[in-house]
Amino acid sequence: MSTSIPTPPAVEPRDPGAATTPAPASVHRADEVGLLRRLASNKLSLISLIGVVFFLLLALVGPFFSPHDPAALGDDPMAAPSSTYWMGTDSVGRDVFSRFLHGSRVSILVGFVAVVFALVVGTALGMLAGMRSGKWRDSVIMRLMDVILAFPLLVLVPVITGIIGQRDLSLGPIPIGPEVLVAVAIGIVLVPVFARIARASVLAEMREDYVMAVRSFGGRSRDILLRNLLPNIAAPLVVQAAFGLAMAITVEAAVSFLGLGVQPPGASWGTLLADARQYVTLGAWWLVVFPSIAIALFVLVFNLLGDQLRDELDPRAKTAMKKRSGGSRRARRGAVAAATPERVEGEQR
Amino acid sequence: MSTTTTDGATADAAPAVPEVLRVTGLQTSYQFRGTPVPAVQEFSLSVRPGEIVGLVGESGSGKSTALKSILGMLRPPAEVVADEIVLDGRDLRGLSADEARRVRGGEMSMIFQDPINSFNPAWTIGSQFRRVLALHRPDLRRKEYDAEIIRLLRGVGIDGNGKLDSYPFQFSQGQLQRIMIAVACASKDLKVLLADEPTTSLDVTIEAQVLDLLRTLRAERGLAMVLVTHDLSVVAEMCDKVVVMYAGRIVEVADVFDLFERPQHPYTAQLLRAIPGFPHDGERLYAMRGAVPGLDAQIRGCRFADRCDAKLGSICDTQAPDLYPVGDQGARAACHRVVTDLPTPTVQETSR
Repeated sequence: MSTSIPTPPAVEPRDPGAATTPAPASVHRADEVGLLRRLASNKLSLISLIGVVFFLLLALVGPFFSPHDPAALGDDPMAAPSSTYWMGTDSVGRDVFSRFLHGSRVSILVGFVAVVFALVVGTALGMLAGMRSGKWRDSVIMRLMDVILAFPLLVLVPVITGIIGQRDLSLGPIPIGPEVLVAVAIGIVLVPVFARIARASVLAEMREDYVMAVRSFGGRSRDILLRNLLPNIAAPLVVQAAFGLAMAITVEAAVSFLGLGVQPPGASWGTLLADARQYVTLGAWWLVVFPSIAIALFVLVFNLLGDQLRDELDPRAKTAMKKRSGGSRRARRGAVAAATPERVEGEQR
Repeated sequence: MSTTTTDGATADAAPAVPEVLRVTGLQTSYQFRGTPVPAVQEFSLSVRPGEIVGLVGESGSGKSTALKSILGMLRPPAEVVADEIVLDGRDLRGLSADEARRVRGGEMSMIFQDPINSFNPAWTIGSQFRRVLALHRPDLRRKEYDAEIIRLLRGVGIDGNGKLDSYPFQFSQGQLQRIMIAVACASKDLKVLLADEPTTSLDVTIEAQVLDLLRTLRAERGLAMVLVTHDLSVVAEMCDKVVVMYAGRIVEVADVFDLFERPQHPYTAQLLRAIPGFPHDGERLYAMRGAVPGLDAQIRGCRFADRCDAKLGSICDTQAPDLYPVGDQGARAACHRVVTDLPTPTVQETSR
């Protein structure tokens, strides 16, 4: 035997057998791979998942299907939807459907970039603050977040784009377009939300025994932060990211509508609406309806997804719903209630 | 037993064996609204290789805090001051943060009360174990980690084959505690194992297995251990020496047999008396009255005075007793009775 420590005799003889049975592994698998499957098994989240896929496809491949050049001026302005112009044309004869497809890509991309930016920066700041709670670093970071939160969204985003947008920026060889600028501006505004969640979660997790255990085994701060805390605080952040996407899209639309976001030659849901503003009263409903529906659907889908994700990822909700359906849960509750009188009887005897 | 290394290192080793861990003058306090609140005061401890020292006391007496202070685990607002914390001839206080980190888990490691929460629920046992090996076993290559983990797990009576990819929740509490012990003992240089109530959350049969395992480790590797517990039966079973703490201070240090036979401090005697036994003639179980005073309580005399069944008189209320030596075996007790040579009366009543 190569061990330096001999196996103590009579140590839980039951254990090895119990653990080699495949049962625990299957429990584990159901828990791991289950997230997508569980989401798909629920009608609401299935709808939201389909919606997410739809919007992703719209953003990724939509523009390739545009029947016309979105910027080309046509000779049939203000045409109602027809077989040639599916969503009609605007005041200068551009095909609204083509503009919608290109605009969707811009809007959705801006949303994603903004949320990714906010998620990364916010989580990092929040975790740094949470690790040294009560210290000056914590105070500086969180007060900065408060300052950002103190401004109305719709004021801050244009101000930030205005400030950074004065010069032509480039990240190495890649020029930073106005869309990216808007995205980062929205991202900055969303940072405090993620920072607060990350900080609160870190504060809660830091008190857990496993953090103490990792430190007692000589774990580095970096490992504690990235490997131990991050996976355990990920769930609320992911949920917030879904809500954040919906928010980023509305902010982008609003800012672009005001003419302070994506600039005219480019299209986004917000600029489509802005272009349509003057013509709505003239009966050109098609200019307004499609982008509006897109925005509303997008917000709905991602709010739904966020709700469903929260139900699935929240560990407390998870244990409560360990068994498949509400029916069995109700049944169990009934069983407990039935058991209570018996116990009382037993005590009386 | 194949102890080819070092010199036996069992409990009855000669006092000449130098202690592997020596702590003196340890004081831990928490900054609370600008004023320091002492949690542990004038704490000292010495442990020789292969020795198990019990650290006993009620909840809130500062046992765990003392342990964490020794390992350097406490952070602000906690503040640790000590005259010396010497591990194997090296004073830990002078170490840089990085060196101190390497000592933790490398030369001195700790196991905790609740094994379930001591593992990160988000990672498999194998990945958590590998990380500790990466920190403390530079002799191993990455490919050898899994084999070593399985070997270490076999050492604590767990068949690790195929289970390294399991998550903590898939193990029982007893298994997790043994895995925790395997992780704590992964380093080859380990000299001291600090056990913070390692069996409190386990049921009695599992408790026996874990204690057995700790004893095996002591015998095989000559590990020194500090065992924090409030269970005196565990102390009787495991320890060579006992340190009794009360309200942040040591009140008695004694050999385990002396402690149970001739407790010098009334607190120890009352603790012993509070162990439930078989009541003879419908007598009520003994319960110590009162509670441990708060950390910030201003106490002039003996900290135990108002709960003491063997008070001498006004001296107990006015003058704090020193930790007087008892006998010549290094035993000590912080009670005025020691100097007056009066017996502690509660002991006699204890005999059942």
